Amino acid sequence: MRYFEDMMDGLQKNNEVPQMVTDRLDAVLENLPDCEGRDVGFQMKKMGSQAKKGGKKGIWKGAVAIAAVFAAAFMVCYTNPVLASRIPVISQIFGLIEKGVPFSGNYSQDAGQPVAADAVSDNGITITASEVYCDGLSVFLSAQVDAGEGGFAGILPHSLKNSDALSDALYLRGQWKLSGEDGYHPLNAYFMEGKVIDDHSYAGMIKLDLDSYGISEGMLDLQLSSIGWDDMAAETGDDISETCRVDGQWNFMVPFQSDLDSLKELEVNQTQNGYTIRKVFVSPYQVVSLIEAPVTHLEKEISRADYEAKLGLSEGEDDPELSYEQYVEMQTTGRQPCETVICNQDGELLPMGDMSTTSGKTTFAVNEKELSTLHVYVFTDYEDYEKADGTIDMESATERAVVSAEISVE
Amino acid sequence: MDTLVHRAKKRDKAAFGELMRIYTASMYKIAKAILKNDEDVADAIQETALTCWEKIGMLKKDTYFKTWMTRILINHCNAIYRKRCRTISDGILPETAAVEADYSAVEWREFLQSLDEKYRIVVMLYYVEGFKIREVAQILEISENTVSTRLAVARKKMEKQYCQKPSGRMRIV
Repeated sequence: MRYFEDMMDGLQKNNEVPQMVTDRLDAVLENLPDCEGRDVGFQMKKMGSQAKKGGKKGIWKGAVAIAAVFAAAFMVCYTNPVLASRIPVISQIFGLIEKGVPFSGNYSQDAGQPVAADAVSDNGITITASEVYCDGLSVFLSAQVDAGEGGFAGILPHSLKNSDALSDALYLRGQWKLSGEDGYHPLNAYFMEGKVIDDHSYAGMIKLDLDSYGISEGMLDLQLSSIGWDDMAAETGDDISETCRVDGQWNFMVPFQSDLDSLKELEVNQTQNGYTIRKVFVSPYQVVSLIEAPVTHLEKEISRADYEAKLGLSEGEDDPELSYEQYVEMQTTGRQPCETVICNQDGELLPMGDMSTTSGKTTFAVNEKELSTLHVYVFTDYEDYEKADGTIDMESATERAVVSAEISVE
Repeated sequence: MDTLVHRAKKRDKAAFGELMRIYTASMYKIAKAILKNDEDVADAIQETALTCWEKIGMLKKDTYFKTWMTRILINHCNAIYRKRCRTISDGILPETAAVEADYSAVEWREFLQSLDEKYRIVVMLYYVEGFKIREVAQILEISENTVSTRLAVARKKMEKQYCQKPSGRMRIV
């Protein structure tokens, strides 16, 4: 029916806008308010940036305070943001954010356990732990963060790899461990991913990767010492990292039970060119690969004095946990760098989360993809094989990988 | 375009103004598909510009600006349309004469106006403005299936009306 298309072509070409319409629009554009809304009545007020560029420790930067409430079906609205105790708590945060985080999935359906913990407040920030879920590989903890002074509306969202979703992130500092572990794992500007609810409230989740896999239950000991975020209104546009930061103390003890029924541990033991794909763990949310690369020895001089200075020892003293010889071995021995890439049976790449060259562990997000077969490739000279549609040329990848494996998941 | 949106989000009035002017013709065509009167169209576009300026900081992805703006425009058009329906019946408001490039454009616009509003707007958004079905669904907050169905119905209606003219020239039935 060509005449229909001709008709539409005609309408497309004819774009004469009456002068009256243009004049009325110009009148509005020439008199735009200074961000004062007619219905919402919001104001932007710069509260004054006190911290210098790069000097962020211990300084509260209320760079922008915006009193704005924006409504959506799932949003929480309140009328008195200053009193944190009257802010309603969102009880099901997983359901709110689970599709818009890097390791997206159906946490709410997999019965994230509610956390029976009190809200913890310090320095104007209240954190309420909401739900916890463990897939045997990581502990996922959801929480609501409320800021009495506000500032969350200025958070610059960041895009997620291989997804149209945008995530609003907070930076956490502190430490965590499972009860029974010897030492704490540090959290240094660690991402909490989720969603800004309004200028005073944020809902997100933290993913804490376990050292040992497959534990059936545990107690998470989480100690936070600062909450930070990027503010898009910061003056130094090229350095907006953590322009807002609040120091304080927020401690949580969270018991959890692991969902081990959905966890698969797959032995691979494929070796080629000195590289070994040892095993792969698969949960509904992530895939973890363990790779062993050839050992390398560095020609490096490590003096006794270097060792003593680094470990804070007196002259001639040895650390009871790490002798000088062991320290030299550790500093001069490494693994060949390599990169692991995993796709499913359809060639869809799994986005990479974290990679560790020392442990050979790489984490990938499942993002609700169908996984019946995994194709694992290890490259020493990885080029970007990813095509525009998020898939990989598997034939080419197999040729160029130093080792590869096809693993049935079912 | 994304650069203009990015600057507008940083409250650059000049960038926002340029953005609105770029989309004026598009907004006019869409609003005219719903509101027949140019006065009402001008009102809707003014309201849309103000709303977009107020809320642009909440736009998550710059590339979605046009879709987001169009949805705001349609909401304003619908509000004005409902208000008009309660106070004045159709046909009484004088319509400002539009300057037409040629007679064929008049015919095509008349054909479009002969469609029910719900078909007219999907035709405008899809064929004239070039939105994808998914985007039209987002703008109108209806399902993609509904969009496809309305497009098919619109084509059939126009085909039927067009084929009733043995000379090949259009007339309104």
